[in-house]
Amino acid sequence: MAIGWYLAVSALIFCVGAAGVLVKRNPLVILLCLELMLNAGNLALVGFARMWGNGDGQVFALIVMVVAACEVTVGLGLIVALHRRRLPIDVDEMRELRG
Amino acid sequence: MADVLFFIAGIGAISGAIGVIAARNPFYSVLALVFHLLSLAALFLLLRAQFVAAAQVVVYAGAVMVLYVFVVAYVGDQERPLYAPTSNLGAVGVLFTGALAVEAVGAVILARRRRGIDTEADERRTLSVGDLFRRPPGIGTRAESVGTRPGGREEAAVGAKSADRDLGGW
Repeated sequence: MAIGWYLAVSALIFCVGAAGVLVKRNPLVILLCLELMLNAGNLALVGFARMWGNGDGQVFALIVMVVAACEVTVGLGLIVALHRRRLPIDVDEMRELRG
Repeated sequence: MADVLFFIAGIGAISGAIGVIAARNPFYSVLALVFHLLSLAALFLLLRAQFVAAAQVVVYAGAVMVLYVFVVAYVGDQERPLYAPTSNLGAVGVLFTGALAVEAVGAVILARRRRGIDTEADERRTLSVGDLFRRPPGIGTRAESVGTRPGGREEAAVGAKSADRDLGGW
């Protein structure tokens, strides 16, 4: 398959993830949609690595995976902290900062 | 065979992604994301990125998703409807996403249709919507992906490289 097909799939997955981030209100699902967008970037990186015939893009894809795992850890910790303080798990309800 | 596998895995990845945002219960969203990740690992295998595919399955589907499942089970389902508008911003979000989809896929198609840059006159020639309706010049090479002019110096170098490395596919 030509790389363009992979890029089209990557673009569609990225758009689905962006739609989820914009529309959904549960922060858990928003984190999942962030994962979707990062994975779309990964697919494009690996596709370009295949296009050039070397492994440079795959190294970037691995780094993106590590960043995604760290981001998930921090985000899920925040959600658990919200839950323990009995705050609503809804991004529309979280409007104010308290010290 | 590779084409069939690509379409199966690609449709699986996109439908898994849609399942993530369509499921009402966050638990089903996580399961849909696991399916999406496995399909994506198949796509990585088709791109001959074996290590990235293995890391995708082990790290993402194995470790990160287990963390997600635990947190979803701990926080619990909030029992919210799929779309309950508290403001009009949801429709704006859908609108922006549609525009983004048109732009991203259109960019890929335009890049496939463009005939490449060899001379300074080509650099002044900008990408236009009319390029969508022209036939792509090269099939099965890097020129098909990024649009190099056939017969140009870039094309000759890439053609020589793709002959011994089998860049075009399986």
